[in-house]
Amino acid sequence: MPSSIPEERLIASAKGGDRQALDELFRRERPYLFNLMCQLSGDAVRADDLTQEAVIAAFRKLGQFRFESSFRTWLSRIAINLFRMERRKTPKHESLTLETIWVPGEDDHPERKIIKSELQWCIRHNLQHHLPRKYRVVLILRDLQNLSYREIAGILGCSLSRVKTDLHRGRRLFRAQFVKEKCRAFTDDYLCICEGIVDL
Amino acid sequence: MNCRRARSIFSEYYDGMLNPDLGKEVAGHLAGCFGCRGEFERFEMGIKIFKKLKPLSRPRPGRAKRA
Repeated sequence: MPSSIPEERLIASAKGGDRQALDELFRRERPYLFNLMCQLSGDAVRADDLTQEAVIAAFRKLGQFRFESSFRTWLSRIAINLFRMERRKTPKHESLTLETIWVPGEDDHPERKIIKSELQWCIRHNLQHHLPRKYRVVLILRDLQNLSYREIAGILGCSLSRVKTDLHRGRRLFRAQFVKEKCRAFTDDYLCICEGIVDL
Repeated sequence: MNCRRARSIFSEYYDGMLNPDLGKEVAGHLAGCFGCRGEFERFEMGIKIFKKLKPLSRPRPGRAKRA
């Protein structure tokens, strides 16, 4: 099926039972969903399963989609709800190890690779274990998925002012946890070794 | 604008979500307040660090299922 077909047409066809349209619709959204679930769960295997579960749930509920939000917003809401339900069943603080974090290698400099691994580990650990869930979700949607405040409010079913408050508190908390006094030496070293964190 | 007010809207200021007049007020405050300027730089740095989080790669087919 051509990838140029507009989303609205695909949804209408899929709702009418067109299997090809349905496959194409989820083929387009699957990478986004997987990425979102990875960021929320911090675990690629869990994210893969959650993505699959979200696709199945969305398939079952497709008849209820009323074009009141974008399809992606609707799908995100389903996936985040699944993640929340799944999260309630799992232990609160699982250990992460450096080996479980995959870091894309852009160069072969061993020192840089180690620093990048450590940074990735610290961000992910901080996100998964030291940020309350309500802040974690809003931070991911805004700073990693680049969604607007309005889109986030639509996904989470909350007010715009709630999004603003949670985002502000979440960002402050993340920074406070990450760049707290005893971590400054590491962070300063990091800036120094890597010639500027922004260029990494 | 006082420091407390400026710091309470850093997040919206960073995102460019404030109305233009309020945005200018914050910018003016930051230009004249050393403490808040440093606080905003640290706030901004936290966001930049967070944005460094890389996506994980999709597991290969046939990987172990979750328990």
